[in-house]
Amino acid sequence: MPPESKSDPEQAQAEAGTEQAPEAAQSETEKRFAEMDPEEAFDRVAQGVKDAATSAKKKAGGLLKRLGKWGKKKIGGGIVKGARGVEATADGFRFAKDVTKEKARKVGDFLQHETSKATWEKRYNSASEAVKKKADEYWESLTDWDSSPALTAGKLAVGATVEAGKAGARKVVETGQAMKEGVINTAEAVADWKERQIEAVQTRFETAMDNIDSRRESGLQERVDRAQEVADKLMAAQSKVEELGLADVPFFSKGKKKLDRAVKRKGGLLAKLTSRLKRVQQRRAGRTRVPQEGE
Amino acid sequence: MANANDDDAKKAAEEIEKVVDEANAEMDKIEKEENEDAEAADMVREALATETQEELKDIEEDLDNVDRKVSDDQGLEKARKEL
Repeated sequence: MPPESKSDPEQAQAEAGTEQAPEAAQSETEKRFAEMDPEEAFDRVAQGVKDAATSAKKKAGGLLKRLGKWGKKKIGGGIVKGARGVEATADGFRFAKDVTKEKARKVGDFLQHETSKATWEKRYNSASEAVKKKADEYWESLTDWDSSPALTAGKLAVGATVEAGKAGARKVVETGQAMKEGVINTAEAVADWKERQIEAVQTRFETAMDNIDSRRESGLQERVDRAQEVADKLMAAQSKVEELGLADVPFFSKGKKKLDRAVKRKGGLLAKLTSRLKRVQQRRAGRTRVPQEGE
Repeated sequence: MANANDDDAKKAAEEIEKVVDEANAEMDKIEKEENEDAEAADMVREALATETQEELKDIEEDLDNVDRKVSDDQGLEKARKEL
């Protein structure tokens, strides 16, 4: 660690003579410094700046750690949750209310925004500035020691360590940038992959469902046509009963009841078949367009 | 009203009853076919839904694996140690 008397710029400045007589302050500083072994002075100054650089690197490392946790949470939580939010039911393919394909696809864009170049430049500047600030404090506290030969070595040490600190901060940024690219690329790849996978499953599901419905539709249509033919025959029979006045003759009372029941049954059957046919047609119309064979 | 002794009327009544019998037979047939077809379609739909749900579950598991791989790929621990 640096000498306590030199770690506080204000104190150093006071000692340097801003408020005291310059000669007295300089004399006291030079006296204390002169008592120091030049190598010890060098080491103390260098160690102080190294501490500042370490502090800056820790700060930048913390940022990386947070980004890492955050990226993992976004990818691991957001996208995986997106897949969990998809369900296939007998009624169709369904996405959970708060999770959509669109949302999953936007994760990549979100990461890009949150880990933007500007953010990382700010982090680099912050780390770099922390090193420079601390070094400047030492530099300033040593301004009045120019006469000492040990100071030359000390200043060189400060300059070298500041550069080392800057290089360290730059490394933080480069690592962060690389990590950011990795996170973004992976998130985008995962989002794309997930979307393709789910779309493929959805297409297969809907194609198969549509095939079932298509078969149902043609079957229902054929049965509706047949039921309509039955209805036409029964209506013709009813007209004949009216025409011949058979409705109230005793020998036809049983036949009349049978005819009435058949007419009623025909109505129910036609209504049921028509309703089912309509529902199947609506379901097919509402379904995402299913790729045709050969597409 | 038709005459009870009118042979033509009786014959017409028989014809009508025959039409009704045929109509009922055809409606029985239609209902049977419809019930079987609807039941079969429901079963196929259920099977398809189950199969698709399994596929989605596989995707979910794959995503879990990707999640773990992402953590490894980013080499966060390594990056921190390098600093």
